[in-house]
Amino acid sequence: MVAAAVLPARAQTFNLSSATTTLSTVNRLPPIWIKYTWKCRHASGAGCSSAELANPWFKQVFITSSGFVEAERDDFWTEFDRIIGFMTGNGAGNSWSAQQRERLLFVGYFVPGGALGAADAAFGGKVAAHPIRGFATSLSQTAVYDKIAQIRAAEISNLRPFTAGVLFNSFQTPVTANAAPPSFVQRAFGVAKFTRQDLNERGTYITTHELAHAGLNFLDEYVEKGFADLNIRQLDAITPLALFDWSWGGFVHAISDLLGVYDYNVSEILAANGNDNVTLTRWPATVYTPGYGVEDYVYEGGMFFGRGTWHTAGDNLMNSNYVVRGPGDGQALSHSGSQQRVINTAFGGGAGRPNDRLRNAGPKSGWPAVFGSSTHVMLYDGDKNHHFQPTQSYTVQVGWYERNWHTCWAVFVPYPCYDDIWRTAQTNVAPTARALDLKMSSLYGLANLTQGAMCAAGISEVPKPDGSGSFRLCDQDLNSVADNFLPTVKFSVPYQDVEVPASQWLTTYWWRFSTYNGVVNSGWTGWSSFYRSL
Amino acid sequence: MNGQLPSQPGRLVQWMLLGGAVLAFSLAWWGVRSTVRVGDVGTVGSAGGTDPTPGAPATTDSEERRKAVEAIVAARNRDNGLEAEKFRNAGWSMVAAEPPDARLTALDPALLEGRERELRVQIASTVAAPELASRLKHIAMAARESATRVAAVEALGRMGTREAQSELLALLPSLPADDDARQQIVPLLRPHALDDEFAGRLAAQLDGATLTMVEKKQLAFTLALVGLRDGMKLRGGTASPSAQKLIDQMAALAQRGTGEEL
Repeated sequence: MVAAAVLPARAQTFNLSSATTTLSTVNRLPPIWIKYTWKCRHASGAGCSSAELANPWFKQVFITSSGFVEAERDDFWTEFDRIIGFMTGNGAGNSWSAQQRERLLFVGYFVPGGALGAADAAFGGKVAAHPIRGFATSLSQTAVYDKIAQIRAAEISNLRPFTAGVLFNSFQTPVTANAAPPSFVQRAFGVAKFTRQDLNERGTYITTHELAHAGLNFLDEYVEKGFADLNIRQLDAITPLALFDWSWGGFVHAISDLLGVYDYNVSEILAANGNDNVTLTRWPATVYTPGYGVEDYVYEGGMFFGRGTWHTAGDNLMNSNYVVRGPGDGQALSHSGSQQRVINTAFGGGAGRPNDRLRNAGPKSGWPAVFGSSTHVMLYDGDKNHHFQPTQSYTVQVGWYERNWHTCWAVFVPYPCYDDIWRTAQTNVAPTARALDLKMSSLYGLANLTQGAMCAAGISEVPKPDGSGSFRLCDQDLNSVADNFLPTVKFSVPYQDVEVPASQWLTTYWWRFSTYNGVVNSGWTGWSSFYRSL
Repeated sequence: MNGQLPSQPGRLVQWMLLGGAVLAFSLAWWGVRSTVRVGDVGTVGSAGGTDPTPGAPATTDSEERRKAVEAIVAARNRDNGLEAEKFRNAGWSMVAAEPPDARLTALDPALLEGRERELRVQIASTVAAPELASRLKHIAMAARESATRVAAVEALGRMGTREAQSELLALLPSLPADDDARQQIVPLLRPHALDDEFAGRLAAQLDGATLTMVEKKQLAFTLALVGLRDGMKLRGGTASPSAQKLIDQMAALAQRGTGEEL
């Protein structure tokens, strides 16, 4: 029995540079002579098995290191244990990690390297100047994702993080922790970054908050100083600068004024694009779905701006006490109603509501003279990129009146007359990835503001124009970078085009759509029309 | 002689002629009126109206006329079904659905009585046609539910036309400062460019008594953003010195990307 107990689990190999969780669970050997490369722990501190790692019921919190030299390996593991305690201990309140502690597996992986800022620091980690708050953690997210993929391929085949964090070996303060929500980086999880000093100063808040960005796709609900009275919709002044990329296909080239034809907005791309806890309007459901009520995102503020973004009531982890508009609009180790709904969906499956944040986004009116055999309508779907209940299909209906002629009589005189017969065609369309490009070089005087908003959203890294790597968006003053070195930021957008074979001249077509998220069909949007002149 | 009544047979003919004219008129009216039906694929019944019935047996002339009309009818019906076939060929299927309610799509404000929820869905989930701007303004003022009034304001903001922007501006003095819909208006006001006449009208609001201080900051911020985007400023004299100062402060805030409270 003892011999069997000390045997490592089949999926793991025991050597001095890797963890043997079975061994550490049974024998609890002191770490002074075992150099762990990786560990897997339950919230209780008990080791986890290969079977548990493979079990999707468990959600993996992946923690790795940057700025730790080899001699500091044990320091990393000490902090790893503290992180588990911060997130799941009694001090974690009603935060998501405390609620779900039984379902979390903490996977730590030590990556040695140079000190922060050194050329050989793990993942290029450093503490860099930040456009908003002085100093912030910075690294190459691409390098982190590549490392995780490498670990999965070579060492931990069942590694599938729900959320990931990089612990920076720094006691500098203040240094802003940050994280990219996964929908902005189009990944299965985001990467959070925080320092050892963060653990000392506010360990529970920082870890649960940043890893909530990276795992639950939450946006911040607090307001940046100086922007308390300003509205995110004002940022739509830069929408004309956003360009449709190649993902849309050729039809966009036939239209010289896309903004005049379709209704798309930078504010929606930033704050109403799959992130459930923040919306652009107080009552975000635009269609009525039987059996579902109307949610009230009663308080304004979030995503940098004090106005124009909305969140539900309930003191919570993603908020602050800087702007408090009423009871339940503050900070706590807890969650608002919408956040709790997302947590329940993330851990329990299904969908907490219909995907009902919809709009027929064009053609706005009429259809300019267009040549070809089809028309493209545009759907706005605020849940197209929802991390846990993305739209799985659109049902689109197009209708028109058809004249059915017949012979009528005025006493003895025949004449042609007609009935208008309503015809409806319907199709189902799967969502496909669509993006808009924003060239930073086209922003001129708006570059800093846009940079600030994107950094607040967690967009910190974009590919360089010359393909030579990534541009760390939040590390530098864009005014000091030459135009041809400024990156193009690509946004996945909450819009979907649908090709409609409406080719009859001088005909008014009507259309509408609904969504299916795997659980529930939403209600229909209202009917919109476009008139095909030629 | 005057005053002499027509003979009885003459009166009878007059009545017969009058009755025949009335009958002919009635038949003509029922026949010409167009009816609307849902397509045969559906199960929903006719929207109304009746099919006209064939008339009395025709004479030879009438027969030729009938054939001519039938030829016209056949020619006009020849392409019927082609559009549906095109959709089918593209992978669509023909289904039964109710046609749009014309009053809803026209945003009839009378629907606020009893059908406000449906009206709100129509407003919030579509982009209204330009000619409906004034109706949206009316709904923004008259709807019972805040959600509907806010939706109407947001819909005006989406339209982007000069008329919609003017209606938004006109709404400001009509709604109290703490109204949910009122608070969404100013951030939706946006000139195409700073040399636009509308930019001047907006700048004038910065000196007026209608806007709150928060709204003035918001409006100044928008004017600053448009200017920074295009590398332009308002024409000299368009804004008062105090208004221009506020715009400059907002421009500085935007250029910094962050800032302390002003």
